[in-house]
Amino acid sequence: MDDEIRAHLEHQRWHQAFDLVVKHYQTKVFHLAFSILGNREQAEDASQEILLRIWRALPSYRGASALSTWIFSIARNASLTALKRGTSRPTVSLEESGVQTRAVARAAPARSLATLEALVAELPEKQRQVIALFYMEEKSYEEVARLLDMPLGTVKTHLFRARKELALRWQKESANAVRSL
Amino acid sequence: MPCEAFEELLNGYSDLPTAERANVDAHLATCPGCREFFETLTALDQSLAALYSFAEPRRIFEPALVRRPSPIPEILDFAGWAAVAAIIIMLGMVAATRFGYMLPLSAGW
Repeated sequence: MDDEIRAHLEHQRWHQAFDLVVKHYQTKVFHLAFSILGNREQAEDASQEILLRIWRALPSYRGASALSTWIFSIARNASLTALKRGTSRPTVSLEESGVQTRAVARAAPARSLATLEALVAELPEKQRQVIALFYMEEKSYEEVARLLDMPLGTVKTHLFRARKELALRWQKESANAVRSL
Repeated sequence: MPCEAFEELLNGYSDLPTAERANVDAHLATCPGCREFFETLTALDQSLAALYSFAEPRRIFEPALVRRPSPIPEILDFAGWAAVAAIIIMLGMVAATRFGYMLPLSAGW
């Protein structure tokens, strides 16, 4: 796909190149924006802005780095700028995300997911990003590393620490919930 | 709480080679602390997958929104606008210089 996009760019066929960029990278750009912003609405706004930026910057792409690296770099920078512009870091609303309708039954009740969501929000920034991307990107360490421009070992370390912390805190929360009944 | 020696193995259980996994399974059969931690990890894994199950953005970007003859070259965002500003300032200075000399004369000062 990247080769096809690059061929269009070489011949200044901007529209064709951009159509393919949108088709191929839109979801990944959204995942990356969400992992940084932690809010679906903001991530969708940021994704639109990121794609516009990419459109404007297409003529300046010289092929020095892989196309995906270039796109993810724009996406990360734009998301970080949006994060600085915004105030707090709200998390995805379960109702808004449609989670309740699809997956709750197989994993945990909504209350547990809300608790988990709050626990994730308390993790250090990098761990939050890695956790969100890992599960959005179908548990691919490599893809998380590529999107966040992070060494594979660092991704695994963040993920390990985040899962351990979440598991311990979740166990504690569950014990408290049982005691309060 | 899990045993320290098994904590990392339990956390990365799905990536373990078969032989190592068998060792962990044997330990799990005899250690309630590790078993509880492992069950929490398994439930956590499923719940996190549920929490982030919205893979697609609701609003799809429409490339037609940016349909123009060509993208605006990025240079216009920076040097381009700086050049435009510089030209305006220079024209202003030239005009001010000219009028600065001419105005008093034309006003009869």
